[in-house]
Amino acid sequence: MSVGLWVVVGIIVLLIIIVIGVYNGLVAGRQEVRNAWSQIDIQLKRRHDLIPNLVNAVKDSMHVEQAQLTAVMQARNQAVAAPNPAASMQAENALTGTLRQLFAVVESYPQLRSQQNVSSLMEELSSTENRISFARQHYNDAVQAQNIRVASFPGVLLASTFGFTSETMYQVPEAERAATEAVPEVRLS
Amino acid sequence: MADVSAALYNTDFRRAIARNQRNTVILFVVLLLIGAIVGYVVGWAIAILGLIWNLPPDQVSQLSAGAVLAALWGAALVSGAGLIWGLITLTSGAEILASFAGARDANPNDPHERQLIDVIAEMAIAAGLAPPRAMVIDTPALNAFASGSSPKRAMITATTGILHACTREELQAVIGHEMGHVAEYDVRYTTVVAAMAGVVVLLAHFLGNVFYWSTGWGGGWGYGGYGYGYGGLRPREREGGASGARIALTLVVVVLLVVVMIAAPLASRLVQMAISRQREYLADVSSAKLTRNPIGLIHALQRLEAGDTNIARPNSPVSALCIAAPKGAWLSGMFSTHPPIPDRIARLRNLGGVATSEPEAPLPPPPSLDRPEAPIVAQPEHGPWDTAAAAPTEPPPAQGPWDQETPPSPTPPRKGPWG
Repeated sequence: MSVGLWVVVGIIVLLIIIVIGVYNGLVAGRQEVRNAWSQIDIQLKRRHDLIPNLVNAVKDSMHVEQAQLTAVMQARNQAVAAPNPAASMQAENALTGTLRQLFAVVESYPQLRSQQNVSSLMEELSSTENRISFARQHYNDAVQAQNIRVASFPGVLLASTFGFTSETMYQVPEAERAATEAVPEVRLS
Repeated sequence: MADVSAALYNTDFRRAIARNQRNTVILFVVLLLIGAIVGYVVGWAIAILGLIWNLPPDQVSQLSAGAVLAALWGAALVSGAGLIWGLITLTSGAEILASFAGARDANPNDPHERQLIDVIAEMAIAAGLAPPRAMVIDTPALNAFASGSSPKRAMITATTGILHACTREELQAVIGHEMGHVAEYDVRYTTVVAAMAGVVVLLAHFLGNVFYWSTGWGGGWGYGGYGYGYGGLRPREREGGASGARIALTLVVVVLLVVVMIAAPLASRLVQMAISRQREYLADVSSAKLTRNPIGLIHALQRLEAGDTNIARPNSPVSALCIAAPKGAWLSGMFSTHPPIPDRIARLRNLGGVATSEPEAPLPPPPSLDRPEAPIVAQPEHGPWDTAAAAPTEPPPAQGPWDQETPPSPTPPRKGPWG
C-alpha cells in the first residue's frame, strides 16, 4: 500500500477516536446534569422529613406562636403534595420563607435553643437549607458545563446529530430573591 | 453585598483554573527534565569514568558514542523510577496520611464536629462528589487537610482548634479549599511530584558517594552503570600511568558530578514547592467557586495568619495539603509549600471582585456552640441560617450562606427548568 493510503486510514481512525471522545463527553455531561437535578430532590425530601420533627420539638413551648407552626406545616404539606414541578417550586419557595421565620423565632429564645434536640434539629435543618442551595448551584454548574460542551467546537458538530440540546438553568425567582435579602420578621409574643 | 454578587457573575473561574493547571503542567515537565538531566549526567559520567580507566589512552577519544548511550539510559531510568516510585507511595502512603497525623473520626454528637460533618456534606454536594470522611485532630492549632488518593476514598481532617475558632461561613470556605484539593486529585498529584523530587534527591546522594568512591573506577562498568566494583586504586595512586587526557576527562566528569549533586536536588525541591503553591491558589479558587463566597475564605485566612497552624513538620507531605503551611520553615518563600497568605487574600479579592477598600475590621470572635445558657439578646437583623448554631451575642458575619443562592452561576440564567 502506498504511503498516501496509510495517511488517509490514519486520519480516519483519528477522526473516529475524536468523535467517540466527544460523544462520551456529551453523554457524561448530560448524566451529570440529571444527577445534579435528582440531588436537589433528595435534599428537598430531607427537608420535608425534618420539618415535622422540629415543629414537634418546639410546639409545646409557650414562646412559639402556634399560627407560625401551622403555617410552616401547611407550607410543608403543600410542597410535599405539589402536583407538578412548577407548583412544587412555588411551594418550596414559600416553605423557605415560613421556615426562615420559624428559625428566627427559635433563635431569639435561649431556653429553646439550649434544648439539645432543638439545637441539633436546627443545625440539621439549616445544613439542609444550605444543601438545597448548593445542590441547585451544582445543578447550574453542571448545566453550564454541558451547555458550553454542546455549543462549542467540536461538540456543536455532533450535538444536534445525536440529539443533545442545551439544558435549562435553575433560576431563583425574583420574588424569592427579594425574600432572601429581606430581613425576616420576628414577632415576640 | 449586592456588588459582590454582581462581581461574581463576571468572575471567570474557568480561566483561573485553566491558568493554574497550565502552570502545573509546565512545572511538572521541568521536574521531569531535571530528573532526565541528572540521569543523563550520571550515565555519562559512569560510562566515561569506567571506560577511560580501562582503555589504553589512545582509545579514550572514541568513548563518546558509548557515553551518550549510557547517558540516555540513565535519563530514561531516572524519569521512570520517579514515576514508579510515585505510584508506589501513592498506593501505600496517601491513605494512612490522616492516621499519621493522629486523626480520629468526627463525633456527630459534638456540636462543632457535627457542623464539620454537615459542612463537608454541603461542600461535597456543591462539588458533585461523594462526601469525604470527616476526621478530627485534637489540637489547639488551626489547620485542616485533605488526604486519600481519589475523591471516593478522600478524607478531610480538621483540628479542633479550627473548628472552635471559625464561624460556620469561614469553616465552609476552609472545607471548600480542601474539597478543591480532593476534586482536583491534588493528593495524587503532590504525592507523585514529591516522589519524583525525592528520586532526584536520592540520586544526588548517590552521586556524592560515587564522587567519594573514585576508587572503584577500575572495575568493569556496564553502560547503565548498575553495580560498581571496588578494589581499584585511587586515581592519584595510578597517576603515574595515566595520560594527560585521562586526567583531564576525569576532572571534567568530577566537576560535572559535583555541580549536579548540588544543583539538582535544590532545583527539584524548588519546582516541587512551586507546584504545591500553584495547587494552593487553585484550591483557593475552587473554594470560592464552591461557596460563591471568597470573603469567607479571606476571613478564614486572616484568622490562620494570626493563629498557630503547626500540626506537621514544615514541608512534609501533610503540609502540601493543609489549608495553611505549618509555620516555622527556616526558609520561607521559595521553599514553602504555600504562597504567603497576603498574596492568597489579594488573589481572592481580585477573583471575587471584592473592593480592595474593604475595611480591615477585626474579625468577630468565633461563635460558641458550647454555652447554650449564655445570656442572649435577640439579634434578628441578620440571616437566621448562618447563626443557627451560633450564640447571637456575636456580631453578624459579613455574609450568610443564603447569599450563595443569589448568584447561581457565573453566567446569567435563562429560564427556569420548570417553565
